[in-house]
Amino acid sequence: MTKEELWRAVLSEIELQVSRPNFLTWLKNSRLLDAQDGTALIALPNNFTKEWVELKYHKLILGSIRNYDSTTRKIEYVVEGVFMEKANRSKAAKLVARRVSEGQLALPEIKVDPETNLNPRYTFDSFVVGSFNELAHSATSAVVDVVGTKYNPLFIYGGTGLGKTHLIQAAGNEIKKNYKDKVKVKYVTSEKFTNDVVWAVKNNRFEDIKRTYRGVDVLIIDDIQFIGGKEKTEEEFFHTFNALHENNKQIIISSDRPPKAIPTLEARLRSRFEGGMIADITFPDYETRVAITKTKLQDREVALDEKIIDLIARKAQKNIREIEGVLNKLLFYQATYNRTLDMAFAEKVIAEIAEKAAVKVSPSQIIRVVANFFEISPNDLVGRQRNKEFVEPRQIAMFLFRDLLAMSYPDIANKVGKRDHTTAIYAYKKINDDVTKNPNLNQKILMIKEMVSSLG
Amino acid sequence: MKLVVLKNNLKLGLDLVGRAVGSALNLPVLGNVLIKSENNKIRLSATNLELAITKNISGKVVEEGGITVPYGLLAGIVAGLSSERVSLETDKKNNLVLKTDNYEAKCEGIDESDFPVIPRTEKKEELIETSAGPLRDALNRVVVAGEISELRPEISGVLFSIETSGLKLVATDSFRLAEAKISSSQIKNKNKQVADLIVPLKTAQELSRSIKEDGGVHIYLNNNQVLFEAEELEIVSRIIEGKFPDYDAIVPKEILTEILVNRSELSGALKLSGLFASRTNEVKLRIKDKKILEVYSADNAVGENNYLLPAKISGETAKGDEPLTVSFNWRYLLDGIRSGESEEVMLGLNGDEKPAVIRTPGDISYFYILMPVKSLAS
Repeated sequence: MTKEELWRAVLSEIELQVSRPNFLTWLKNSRLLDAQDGTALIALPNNFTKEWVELKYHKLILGSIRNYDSTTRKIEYVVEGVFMEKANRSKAAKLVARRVSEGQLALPEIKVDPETNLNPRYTFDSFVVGSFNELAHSATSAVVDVVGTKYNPLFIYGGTGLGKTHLIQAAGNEIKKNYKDKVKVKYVTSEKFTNDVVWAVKNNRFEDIKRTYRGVDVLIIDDIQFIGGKEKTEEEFFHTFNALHENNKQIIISSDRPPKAIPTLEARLRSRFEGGMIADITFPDYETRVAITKTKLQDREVALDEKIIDLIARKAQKNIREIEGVLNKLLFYQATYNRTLDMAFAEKVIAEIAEKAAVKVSPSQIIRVVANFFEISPNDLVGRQRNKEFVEPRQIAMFLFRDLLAMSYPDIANKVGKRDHTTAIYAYKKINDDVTKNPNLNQKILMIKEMVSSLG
Repeated sequence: MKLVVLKNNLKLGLDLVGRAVGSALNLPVLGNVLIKSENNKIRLSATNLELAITKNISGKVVEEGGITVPYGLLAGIVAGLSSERVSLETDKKNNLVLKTDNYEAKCEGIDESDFPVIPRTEKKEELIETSAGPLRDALNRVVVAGEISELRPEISGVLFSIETSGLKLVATDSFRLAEAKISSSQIKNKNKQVADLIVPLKTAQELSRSIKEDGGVHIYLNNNQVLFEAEELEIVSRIIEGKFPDYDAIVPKEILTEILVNRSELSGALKLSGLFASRTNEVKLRIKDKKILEVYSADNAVGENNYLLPAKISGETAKGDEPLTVSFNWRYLLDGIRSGESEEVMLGLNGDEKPAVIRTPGDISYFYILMPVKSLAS
């Protein structure tokens, strides 16, 4: 019989003998820490319960324990951790709900918890779930419920500004909230981890690193792709990973790409990352973008016209950070000029931002990116062949010319193998239509657009 | 048990312990107040198992004993009585019989042996003794900056930083932070103790409400709990485990713009502007020139207003060609402005992204820092 089983048996026996409120108040949150050499060590949540249990239930507990383990002669009581009373907790939660505007800056040293490095602003409540991040979200929630054993490690990947950091920090905050002080959480960016390793190498203080990183129950590492190629850091991370994983400590990792696409990552680390759960976050679809925009407006306690929300969601498709940028700008105008935004004005503001986002690329660069993406040669892309594998890339290239560079149809047709301008019109219309119907195609185009904008 | 007490004494005692009454939903006796007489003293106690307050009241003990009765019921009766003297008596069935010249009530009670034992704190572990008045003032000036947070238990309280030469109290909600010092002349640190303890915000609030102007407060610590002992009053509370953030680094060493302004005029201006602030509570402070501070707020749905205050302004007064403007949450700003008595208050600005400081001119025992509200432009 383990001590947990022993204690459960003892409690269920006592439960029959004392009234329900008494049991809930005094004994529910107790634990048996140790039972050895005839002494049982019982942990209670506070001094009040300790005094009371010692005074009132000592004989009862001793008797019940002896029923199962007759060697026990003595019981000692200790106070362990702090559990808030239920009633108080809901009151506390209400106090927290006092709204603080999004713009309110926080004192830099205090807003982040020094022990866990987590920013309390990231919570699951403010995380919008859609089909693009459903898997990552449910995997993370599962990890919060069953820390350490279900999905370990949990590997989340996706492009920038899609909410990776939000998700993994929310997981850390939720774990910290649910398990109070019983579970130690640590959030670190891989940059910080690298700096710590560099510092340790310089000062020969590897013991410090071991103590900080191997003593936690949940380790959350952000942007792991940056440790690729840094040998000493990779090695130290490898050992930390093993030490934690062997002891069923939860590891949560984020990256901008899947493990196998991090070129410089050592094979032994890669295989370990792939040994747990891998979940991706892709681009939000239109409906989710609307939901995200609305959530952000709610956070700021302002309202915008439905039509403008629709416009933002349609235009800002690259990532969530872009939505934030557009919103900030619109709300700034609304606040400064102190008037409600009209559609024409909103369009102007959004166009300004979109213009800024569009980088100066040449048509041939787009052709190269598209060809590269579909793994065909640029010559085939502009060539005459009408095989299926060339037609779609060709149409996408024409669509992008129009969409990104606002080129004229004859010009487009000319650039893509001296075709007739009606071909260009047809290609643009077809892709423009299909994008709304075919999420797969939308995904491809978004990825290509991101590749194009990363050229600038 | 049989006692005779003055109604006002009983009422004062009940008001004090009432803040610690727990929720009767979990365990009925927690919603009760314990009345106990021993060695000719009458003691009232209440607890919610995190905080316990015990207050001795004066009165005549005819027969010793004890009983617990629902707090709300007893407090209600006492508040409504017109007579000066009240007699309290128990009968054999755990009832409390309350009598005056023309009134009699019988309240169902619960046996005193069911009332939680308030954990003993060994008195030999005294940390520090401080004068009550200064402690109360310091508490009042810092608790405004605190907030209870489930995610950040370590800042959900007031830090009592005990040094051999003084006592420092600090509270923060991560948007603002207040520190008050109690000077060495007001404290006695016999055992040369040095300790940091985080006292739950609620305990700190109750403490500041309960202690009087005169006398001293002894602070004892052991076994994760703290005992505050003042005249005829004992407050026992858990302390918060964890480390209070290292806040020294965020206290601005320099001030870019120093504004001296009349305290009550500024707080009046803030309250007015608060009426026009949007739901985000944002008001703007604008430096018109070296002699005028403008308080401005506007909301789409309400309108706008501005208030001009005479001030003495030195340091940076403009940002480029524009007059210097910094936005704040007016409630947070007001909390800081109100935490002092002097006629003038010093407001130190450090641009729109760094913390501002509020001090009383010539007084180094207190400061309040707060972060601005960032305007929406990215």
